[in-house]
Amino acid sequence: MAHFRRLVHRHLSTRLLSSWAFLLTVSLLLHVYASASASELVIYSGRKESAIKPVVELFQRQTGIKVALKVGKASGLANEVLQERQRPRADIFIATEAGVCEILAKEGLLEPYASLSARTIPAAHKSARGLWTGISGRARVIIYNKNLVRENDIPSSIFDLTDAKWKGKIAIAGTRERTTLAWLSALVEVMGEEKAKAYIDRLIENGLKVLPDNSDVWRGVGSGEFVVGLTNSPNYHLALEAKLPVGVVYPDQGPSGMGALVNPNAVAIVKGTKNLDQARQFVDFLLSKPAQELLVHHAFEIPLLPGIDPGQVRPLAGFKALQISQERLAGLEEKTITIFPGL
Amino acid sequence: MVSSNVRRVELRQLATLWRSQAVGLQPAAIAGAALIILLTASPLVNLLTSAFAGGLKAFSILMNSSMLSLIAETMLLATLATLWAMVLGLPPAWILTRTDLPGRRVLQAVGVLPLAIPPYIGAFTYITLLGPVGWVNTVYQTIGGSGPIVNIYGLWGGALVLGLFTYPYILLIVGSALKGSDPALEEAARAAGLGPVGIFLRVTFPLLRPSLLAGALLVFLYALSDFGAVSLLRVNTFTTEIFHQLNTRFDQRNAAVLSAILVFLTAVVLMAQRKSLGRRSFVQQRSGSRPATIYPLGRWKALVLCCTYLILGGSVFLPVALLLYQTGSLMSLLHTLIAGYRYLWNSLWTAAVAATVASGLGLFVAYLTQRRKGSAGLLLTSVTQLGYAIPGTVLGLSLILLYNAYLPWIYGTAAMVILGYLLRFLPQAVQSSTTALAQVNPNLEEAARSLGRSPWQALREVTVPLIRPGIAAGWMLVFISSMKELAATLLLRPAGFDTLPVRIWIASIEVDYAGAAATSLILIVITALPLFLISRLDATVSQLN
Amino acid sequence: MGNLAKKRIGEIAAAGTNIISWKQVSSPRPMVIRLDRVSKHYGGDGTPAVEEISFSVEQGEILVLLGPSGCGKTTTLRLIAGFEAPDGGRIEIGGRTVAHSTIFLPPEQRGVGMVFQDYALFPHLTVQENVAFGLHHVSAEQQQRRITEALELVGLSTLQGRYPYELSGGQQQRVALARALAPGPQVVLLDEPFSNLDADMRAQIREDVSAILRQAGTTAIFVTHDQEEAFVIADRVGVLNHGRLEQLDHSEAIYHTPATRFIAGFVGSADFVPGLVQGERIITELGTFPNQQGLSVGQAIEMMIRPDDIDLVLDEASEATVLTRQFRGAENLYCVRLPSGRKIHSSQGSTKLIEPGTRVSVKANPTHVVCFDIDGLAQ
Repeated sequence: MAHFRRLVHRHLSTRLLSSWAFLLTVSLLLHVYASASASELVIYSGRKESAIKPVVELFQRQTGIKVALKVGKASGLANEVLQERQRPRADIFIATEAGVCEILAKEGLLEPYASLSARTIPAAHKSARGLWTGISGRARVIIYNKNLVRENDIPSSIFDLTDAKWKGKIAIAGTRERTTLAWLSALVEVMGEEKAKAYIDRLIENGLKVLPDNSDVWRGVGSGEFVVGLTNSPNYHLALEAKLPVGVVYPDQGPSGMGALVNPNAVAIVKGTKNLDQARQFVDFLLSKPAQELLVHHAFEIPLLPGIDPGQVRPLAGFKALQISQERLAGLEEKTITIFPGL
Repeated sequence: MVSSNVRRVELRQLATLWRSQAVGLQPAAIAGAALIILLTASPLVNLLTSAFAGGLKAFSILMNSSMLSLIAETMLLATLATLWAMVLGLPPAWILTRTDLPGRRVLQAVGVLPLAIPPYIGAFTYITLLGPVGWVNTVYQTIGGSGPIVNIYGLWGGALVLGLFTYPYILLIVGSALKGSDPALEEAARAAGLGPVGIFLRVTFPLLRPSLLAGALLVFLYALSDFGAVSLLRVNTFTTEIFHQLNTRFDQRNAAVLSAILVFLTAVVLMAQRKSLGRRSFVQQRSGSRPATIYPLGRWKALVLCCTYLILGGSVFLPVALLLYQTGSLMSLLHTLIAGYRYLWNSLWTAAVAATVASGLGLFVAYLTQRRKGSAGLLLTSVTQLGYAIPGTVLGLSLILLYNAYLPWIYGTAAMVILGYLLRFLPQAVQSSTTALAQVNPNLEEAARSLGRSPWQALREVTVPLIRPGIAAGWMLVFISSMKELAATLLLRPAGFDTLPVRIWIASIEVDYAGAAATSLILIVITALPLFLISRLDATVSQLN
Repeated sequence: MGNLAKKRIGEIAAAGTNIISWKQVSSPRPMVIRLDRVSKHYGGDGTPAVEEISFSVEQGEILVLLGPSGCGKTTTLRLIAGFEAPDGGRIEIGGRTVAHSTIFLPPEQRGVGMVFQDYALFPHLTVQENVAFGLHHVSAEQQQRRITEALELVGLSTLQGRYPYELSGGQQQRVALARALAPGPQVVLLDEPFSNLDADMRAQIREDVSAILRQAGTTAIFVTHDQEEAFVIADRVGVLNHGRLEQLDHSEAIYHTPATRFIAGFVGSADFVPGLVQGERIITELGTFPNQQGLSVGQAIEMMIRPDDIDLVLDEASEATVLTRQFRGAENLYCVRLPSGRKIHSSQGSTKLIEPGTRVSVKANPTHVVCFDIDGLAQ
């Protein structure tokens, strides 16, 4: 203690301390001033960092435009965009599904931009008014642990999961994941509120385990903690990459089946951005071949644009997709939340 | 009438005070005080206003059964964590101060180290060890078992990890009380014929109750407000629910209501803690230089040593070893360092600025309380204590609400992060300065003035040199706490501005274990050094919040 | 170093005593400190800490403020120093008004040195630096000269490089004194400077400090609750009680002719015997005494009797008996019960032993007849 005191006395004279304090305060003020006039492209991404970062880095290298990336949950980031409406901070908003973009669009917070590259994207996966564009897609699939499920027992429809043989062995990510939320809204739209609620109730009775994150789902199924999981198609490939024994089913493909829901990852430009040109450049870039190939091969997404090699991923044409409009899904969100509080 | 007489005298006194520099209520001091009060109280006030803006209808969610289970789970977690921390902290405190355990002085110094490991890092390491796909389960499955045998996720896992990384608070506070207690009482009991166990139960333990309570309340408070560890361990508490609400719902009011309830709970605990601390000072007066009785351990020595090292192992060695292993190689660590130097710089810079501003404000508040009469000082101190009562998540939310609405040019810059650190950890700086100042004889300043120095000069030439070590210690405390802070930073950081804890958290969530491990090591190394320095100062034991 | 000048005051004792002492009067000296009806209140209920105190201190004089704790003596000192502001009255130092209604001079501008009860030496500075602290406005070589002088004065020239924690209590106190004296203040204020010292050192250090102050010719105001200390050091003593200055006089006068009953009891021991004034004489249980103060006939008073005024003679016929004997080294203190039942005390030489229970006759020989009326005021 005495030693420490002497150390302090010798090295930390009042003058040194106060000049140091002064410097720090000045740096703080400078920083505040600087960030007011920054010219970085600010991207709010609801997509995981591991998925979006390679694309962003490629963009920076190719165009030289500096990017400030903020990763989080799509709804949370949408909240921030809402909060910041007086002084928008974000230039680009990327979400894991389009419903949240629709919500922002309704609030008038998005800037329309019809990229030339987006012309070939199917209408279901882009905004009618050009307020958001789908970049790539994910399908709602069922994954299963190959060691624990016999060939005959592989479920072909989501409704098979209410069977007793899956009791306590089904995993799903909760509505914190927007893709789950969108899926539930789709169920409500297709089956009607009552039947959808009944179905989910039966699933819950059957011991449906609600996990926070989709990565928990595929890891859980891969490890044998669960036998089947309801999740998005990229997670199947991630599990394969991690050398886990999983298989995948694109459910409800039969002639009377409703098909598998496809959620487009959406990109939108925030209204009031000061970097409009650069934002548009970024959107174009996302829809360009190099970025698309990164997303498909690195993040195992389904390409929405024609002419992109899907690789291992089953392309849009390879399965029956649920036909629904994103606007409808967005509109159902509030109701869905109240109908399914347990998720 | 008595009252009018009183008022007249007070007015006269006020007039005298105003013009006299002896008591010196200069306008600058009042302005400074008002500014600080505004700064620290406004977020909370704004939060409560927005929570109650919906009227009592907003609180109807209290009737919801899931809300009650949320309260139950949060309180249960905090209670279990506290009990576990007491089990881990109390026996070692007694053993290290009252027995002849070999190497106990070294162990006392090392006992502080778990505080260098933030609970979220601890959670992450124990997930890799005891999670459903962790090592233990993998090994178990390799040797033929089916399904996971141990799962750290959930309430019990949360309590385990939280207690494991907060027991040093109890160890330090109780240990300090044991060191400074009067051995005469125990000797008297010995003379009356009681054995070691009897002495402990009948004499020592009752005397320790106040410090044990203080430490327990500290841990309880910590568990209530923790976010990182509980969210990684999948425990449903208030903080995670607030975070969840912010991230999935577009109406902030639910989050605000939950925050208000949480603030209320923590305020209750905080008041209980203050009351238990109030009558005692932590600057122990040694009554005479007689050391306390030392009990020989005899054949228990090996067992006790084993247990002590086990506890230390579980809270320091094991996590660090795991982190080292996960990082892989030194190259990999360097690579993370180089790739993430920006995050390191962000952490260091924000923590340093926050610590500096906090030290300055802390000194100001301490001076006003200690040297000037009047209620201004007391009001200031109470207001600055608010930082303790507001969990990081809630603080982040309230700052967002406030600054976005009223001071948008600060909102969205790193200044928000610094502000968050400042408000949360200002109490530590105030407490350090107050303790340091209390140990300086006020006559010294008067002597300086009688020798021709103005009050300002007296402060600079006499008081400041004497309290410099205390201020330095306070600076380091705020620095360390800011470096480790996660919950508020997550909410407040602008785009592209991540700190080390944020990187660790993101990496944990995205299951990039190697990255998380490397960054964790960097963080631990940076915070361990000042922590070790401070632990050598006895007087700061009570401030290690 | 100032002149050595001693002031002697003539005092004539009343008839019946033989003590005469003469002190010569020299030319009148300037007033360094002057307090004029100074008051100070603390707290919301307006309890006065200091009430309408007036006195003045001459150049080179040592004044001691004496009183029990809480009597306001420290407050008075702090008012003079400038650490508190008076609620009423005027304070002048060196002829300049430093505190009065709207005027207030802060401590650093008053030229007043202060020695605190706990010395208040700066722990992070050496002895040399401590003493130099008040000399920042003089040139470097002047500084050095003054420091050397001051340290020589207090006899600590060899300890310049030490730190306060390396010094004994007595040494620390002398450094504190040197520090206060070095800047050449108009007056030095000392707040119970000897109370922190061990009893055996106290007497010696008291003398030393007193000598130092006289040698330097500095005006000084001491504050103490120890009456012996006050009498030894002071030129004049002011006794305070509940914020009021009850008497300001030379030590002998305070002892022999206290102005109030409180002073009589506080300074030295006293017993009080009721009496009745009858013309030229005052009738008490202990006998009759001359009416020296010209009290009016029929007035009921209490007469002060000190133990050293009482003589005891063995007398079987008397109804007064010795109750207890306390051996006090230099004297024996006897408690005697008078026929009326009242108890008084008598101080006798240590060799004269009277056993408890012995009948004695009590003879009172006070040098001064001091009487108090029912309000406790001297008549």
